Amino acid sequence: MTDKKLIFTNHQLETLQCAVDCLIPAQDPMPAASAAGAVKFISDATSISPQSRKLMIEGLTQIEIMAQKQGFTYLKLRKEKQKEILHYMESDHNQFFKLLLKETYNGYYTNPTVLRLIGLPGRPPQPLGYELNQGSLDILEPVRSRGEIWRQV
Amino acid sequence: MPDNVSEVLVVGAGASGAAFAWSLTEAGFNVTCLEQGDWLNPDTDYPTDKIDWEIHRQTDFNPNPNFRNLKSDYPVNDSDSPIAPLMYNAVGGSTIHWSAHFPRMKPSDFKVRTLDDVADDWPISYEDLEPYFDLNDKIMGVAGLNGDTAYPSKSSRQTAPVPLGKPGYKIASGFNKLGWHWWPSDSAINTQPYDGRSACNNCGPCDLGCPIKAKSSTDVTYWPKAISNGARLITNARVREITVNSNGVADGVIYYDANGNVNEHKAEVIVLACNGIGTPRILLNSKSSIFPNGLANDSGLVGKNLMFHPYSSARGIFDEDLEGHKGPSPLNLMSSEFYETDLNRGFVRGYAYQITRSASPISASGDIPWGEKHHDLFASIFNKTISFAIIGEDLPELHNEVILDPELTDADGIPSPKVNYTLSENSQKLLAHGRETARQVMESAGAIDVKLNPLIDQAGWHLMGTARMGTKATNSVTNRYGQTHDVKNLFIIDGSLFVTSGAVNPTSTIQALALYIANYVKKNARHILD
Repeated sequence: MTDKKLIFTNHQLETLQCAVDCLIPAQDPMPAASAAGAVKFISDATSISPQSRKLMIEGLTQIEIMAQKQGFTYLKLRKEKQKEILHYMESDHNQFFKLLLKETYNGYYTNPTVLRLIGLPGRPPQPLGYELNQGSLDILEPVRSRGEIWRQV
Repeated sequence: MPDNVSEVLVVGAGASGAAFAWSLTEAGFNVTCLEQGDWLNPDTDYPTDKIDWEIHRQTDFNPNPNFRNLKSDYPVNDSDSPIAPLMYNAVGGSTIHWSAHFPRMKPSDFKVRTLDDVADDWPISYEDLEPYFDLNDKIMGVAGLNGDTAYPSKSSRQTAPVPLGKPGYKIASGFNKLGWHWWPSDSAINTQPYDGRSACNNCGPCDLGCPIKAKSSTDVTYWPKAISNGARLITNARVREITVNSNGVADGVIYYDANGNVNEHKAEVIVLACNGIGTPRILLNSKSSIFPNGLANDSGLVGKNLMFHPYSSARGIFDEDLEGHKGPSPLNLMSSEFYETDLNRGFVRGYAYQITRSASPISASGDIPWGEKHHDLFASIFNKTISFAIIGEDLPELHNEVILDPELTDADGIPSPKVNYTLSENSQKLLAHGRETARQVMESAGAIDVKLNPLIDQAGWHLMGTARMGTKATNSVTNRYGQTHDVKNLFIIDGSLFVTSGAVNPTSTIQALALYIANYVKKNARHILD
């Protein structure tokens, strides 16, 4: 990305980390979003679209402005205040918030560790696929015994 | 013959075009097919072997061309439709991203005017298509179970049905408690090795393309056979219009290649296989002094009577791990309990259910709120849901239509289609009934909660009716053989032909129609070509 205005500052990355961890906090054994790589994921995902990156930077800037109004930088605010600001963003800067939430979930639920913790093998569906055998089809007996139901013409 | 001349020219390499090209080349015809998309390489081009596979549903494998926005796609103006048309543009067409549901339309579907006094009868019957259903099943390879009580008996299915898995057994128990019909439905998926293609390994997301060729997209079924017969398939070729000579006979097409250069291709027979949006688009864009309203449109019916299958959904949540990630995500279990008309219900015709396994992680997370409760709520539904898609029969209405957009174009400057569609009162009542019966099945199966969605907007999978077949030039665009009334060497072989929609996925019927029409063209070539 050549446009310097479209590179996240370290401060914005810290704000982002704080925000995604409000969206998906840690809860044993589940990691918080940032620990599952969500910040890097969002950075990568928005790097292919200048529009998305611009929206993300504007939103993070707005979050910081809201925090400064309370006399602190966003990451120094109490958790409750951080969440309040996100609720405000959700209602008043919905386009940004929807992108933030979508990419946070996208990043989180493609992380192999997270996938294992929710009961999946933590790998893509292919090439291994899954073992699934056909069981007995005797369960069709009530359907069969009722007889043909198709409408004759 | 020179490179830019063929006996038969097919536009579109999807479900119908592939079947038709194969059939004609079996009989030795010289066939060329123009396809606006390209080949996909199953070994390299599908995302299911990547850890971020599910994200591709939002991007390059999004079923909506407006979101996907690939070079092979054209934008569709759907701002005046509650249902977005979906499609894929490539060799194989929408069979690339379909879920391979393969039910046939039923005998009654072809006779709804006679039986129920609604819409129109088709000019052909189930019996007319039956040999072609069977032939098509053999080439595509169908997993299923003979003996479905909601159908006349069918030829042997090629492979065993798709495994029910825990979600299948669970929901079947609900149907059985109510005494309602259900059956492991036909799927164009190899559950055992068939015709040189491997068996399904139950990986799940059929909609993202099948890298092991177990799902029967036509790029791996019909096309290799057609090409070895001598068919020529030109990709990245987007047709702008069909040209006619001074006698009003179609004589070729004009198309853009990958570099945007204009090319011509001449042929003695032109065949449109672009389905319910693409076919009327090309016809309406083929204006001439002889056909000022678009080609083969003296009836004024090109683009009219657009039918989707409107879908409601019902999602049941169960209190146990259903291992819903194992097996093709379309569970391939259907119910025809409410398929036929019962006027006591307050609407005509009916609906079927399709059942899908549990939602994959990102889809499942979509409804889960952020914050402290996120993990508990996610855990309460993940791999614990079964979903019903209630697929309603859509009846033809003149005002539901495909027109050319006055402003929007594709990358080559060809006018885009615009869809004008409203959901009829009959459809609304039918879907409302379906949601409540779906809830009954879910609860009988032990669901602890059921969530209903009245209308799925991103579900315009099935595009039908916009160049209907019929008995007269005043009530239809083509005759019973897909031959246009106005231009005798112009044929239509796709979902545009449908007179009514039935309440099942259309691909099997589209392909049977294509083979039926191919048989007519082969037998009457001299008459058509003279």
